[in-house]
Amino acid sequence: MKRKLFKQILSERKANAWLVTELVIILVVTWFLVDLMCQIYVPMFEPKGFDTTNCYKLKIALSEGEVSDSAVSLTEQRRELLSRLRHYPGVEAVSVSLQSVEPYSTGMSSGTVVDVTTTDSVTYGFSDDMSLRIGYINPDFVRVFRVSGPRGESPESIARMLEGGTDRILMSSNFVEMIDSGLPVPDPYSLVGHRFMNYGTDYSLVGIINNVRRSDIEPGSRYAVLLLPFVESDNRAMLCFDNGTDVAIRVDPSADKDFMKRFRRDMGTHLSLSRIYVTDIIPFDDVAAATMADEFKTVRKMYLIVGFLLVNVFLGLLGTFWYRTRQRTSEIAVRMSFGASRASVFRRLTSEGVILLLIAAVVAAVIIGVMLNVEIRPQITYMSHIEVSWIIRNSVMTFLLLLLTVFLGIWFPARAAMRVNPATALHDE
Amino acid sequence: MFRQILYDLRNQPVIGIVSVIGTALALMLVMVSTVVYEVDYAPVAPESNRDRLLYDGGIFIRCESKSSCSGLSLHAIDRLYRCMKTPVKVAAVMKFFEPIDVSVPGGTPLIIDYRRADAEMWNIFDHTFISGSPFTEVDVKAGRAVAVIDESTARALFKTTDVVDREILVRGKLYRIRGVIRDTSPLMKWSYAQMWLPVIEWNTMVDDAHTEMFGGYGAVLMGASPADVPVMKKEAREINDGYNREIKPTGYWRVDCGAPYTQLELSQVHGSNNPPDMADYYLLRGVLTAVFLLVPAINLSSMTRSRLRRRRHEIGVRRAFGATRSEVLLAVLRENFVVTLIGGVIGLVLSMVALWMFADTFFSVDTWDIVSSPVRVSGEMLFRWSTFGWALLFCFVLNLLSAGIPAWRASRLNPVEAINQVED
Repeated sequence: MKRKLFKQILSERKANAWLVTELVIILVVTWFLVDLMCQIYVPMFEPKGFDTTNCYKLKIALSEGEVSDSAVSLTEQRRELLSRLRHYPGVEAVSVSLQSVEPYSTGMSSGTVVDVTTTDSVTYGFSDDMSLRIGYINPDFVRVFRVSGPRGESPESIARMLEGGTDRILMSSNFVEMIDSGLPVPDPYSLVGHRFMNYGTDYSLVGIINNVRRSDIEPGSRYAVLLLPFVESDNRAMLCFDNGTDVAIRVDPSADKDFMKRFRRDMGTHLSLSRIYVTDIIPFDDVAAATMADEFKTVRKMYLIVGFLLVNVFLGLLGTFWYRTRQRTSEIAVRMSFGASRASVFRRLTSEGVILLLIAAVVAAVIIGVMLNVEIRPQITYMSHIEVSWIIRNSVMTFLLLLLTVFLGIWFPARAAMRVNPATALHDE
Repeated sequence: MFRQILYDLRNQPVIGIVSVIGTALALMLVMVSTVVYEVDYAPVAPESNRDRLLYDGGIFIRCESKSSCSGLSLHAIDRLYRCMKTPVKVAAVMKFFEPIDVSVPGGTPLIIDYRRADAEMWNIFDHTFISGSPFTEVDVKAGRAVAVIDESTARALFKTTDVVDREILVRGKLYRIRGVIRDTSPLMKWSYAQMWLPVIEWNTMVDDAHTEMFGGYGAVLMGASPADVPVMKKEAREINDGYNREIKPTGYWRVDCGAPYTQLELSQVHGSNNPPDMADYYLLRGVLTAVFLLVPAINLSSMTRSRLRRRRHEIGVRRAFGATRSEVLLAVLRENFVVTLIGGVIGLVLSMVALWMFADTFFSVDTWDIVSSPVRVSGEMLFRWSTFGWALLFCFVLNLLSAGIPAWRASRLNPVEAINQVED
């Protein structure tokens, strides 16, 4: 039976060659598209290092109009607004941060930091694959975005660590991987208490946190984060409050229903001072959607392309096998009249398709292997290095997708062929 | 001939339908991808002059140990571009649109996207004025609080577009409306805004070397004709070299990222410190088109083969009765072309519908912010004669690829063998 199957495939070799060529092209293209989609989707399941449920982004601006009461200084108004926000019903914490460390921010400031505790100072931050994101935060940032530590430190305990002084900093545990080349990578916790220098100021490292990622889709392995203090009592820092800082609030879940509506109503009155006011409140879901719109659009376009390719495989198989099964109606009829079950006839037809797919898969694997090993790799995949598990994952997913399509493409013509009454089919002959 | 095709379709409906669907899908995808790419560079109002424009939206200055990048300041645009001889016009335009709150005095505020620009912008981009006029160089120089708003904003604020000389509060400051323009699509990267205000001094960096160069603006250069583009590029580079010589003693230099960019390059620029990667772009587009063309071509060709094999007998009879090889070849090609064309027309319609319905998915707006306007696509963006021409060409190539080989083989059939149904 097996020999007969191969003989049949060989006798149709010209039509089959076309099918295999098509399958090869589609396997290769689909493989890389599956790869790209996985690169976008996989980080979504990794810990983000922050939580934005019940959080809102606030936009704060200075009024550019004439002011009537100049008695209250702008700095006082900034502090007053901040305090009103903190006391606003339902608000749990108000985060103020600088330099795009807030989740879903699009900018990024990076640099280096020097451990100056020991005599031979060690620099962290020069690395080819990683960068050290640096931002300024107030202690409430940790509470709003629920930043926690690798050893289970709670957001509250980390925020308390920061509150004890104005020179206290946090770093994500992976910052040690960016140590000067050649030096052994230390345990991050062994560096707690060390003094670190950044841009001429020195700080004390008080805690280690989980990496705070930029968004759901950017893998956290590309950077570590250094959080410097944003000191609200410092007038100079507060200058940025309405120009450059990111302000966000966390709302008590029980108060979150209708919160936006209530807040918007009070924006124009209670939360509006003569010079400074809140212009907009945006749920973080919307911020996230806007930040990641491009990536999701890319994914949707890929769905479209993969869908197109699979429909083509389906149509191609449908067309070819339609013709083939019609040609072989008599053969199928003979088989069925000799007692072959529908299932066995169907199996025979699909195994033809599966064998073709397997042949195509071998050729495609060679092509993909070559493509992964030449220079164009970075242009067609996000893979920074080849990982066997990824390759297996992509290959299995691609093969299964195609397998399903092959079954569908053959099932329709096979069903039609099997419906023919054996007597009628043989009569034709 | 049509009867033949109809007969064929009736006789082998599955293969006929599969061919038509296959062609329609392929054409749809090629059209969609072409239109999506073209939106970035095809001349469409208000960016009708795209083929003679150059853009620079970023400045990247560094020394050995640190670097800063941002948009350009007005000073930087003066220093690097306004001194050029080739461009007929140089405008400063806010690089990104930003949300801002506007209201009628006493009314509820509305968040809209705004941009600042100098008066030259109105001469480079051709916005359509419904009423009023643009603000002028005098307005900009005098720092007057004047604004141009778009139709939807005027309606949202005043319920009418006849609002010239009315006043609005923009971030708490009173502005006088100078004119109302037609709504623009956020897909028009540099000319979209719901409100235009005159430029102001704006520096984005503090405590940094050469802060005077960093701002929130971009420069738009317009040549007298598309032929000026390379000349402007060359001149801009010379001026940049001059600037680098000037600041060399400070240890800093401006990194050359290939700016100013053409419209096409601009669509591939990501960030102020990366040059656009055109090789990648062409590779991707080429591979996409090749796949979209090749895969259905293979499909259709095996389908044509199947169809022709059932008609070997007929072709044999035709040849026996004196039809020449080229006649048979042409007949097969023609029939196939009709099938391709039917699929092509369906695909064209499908692509327009898909693009219009899913504009939001296909087209990306160049921002990370929340856009206040819907992503509108105009007829001009979706249907252009050049695109239609490409679609026709695509159909033709697809037909040649898919029917060419089987048709050629059919024409070379030996009539005797064909009539006797000898397998080849």
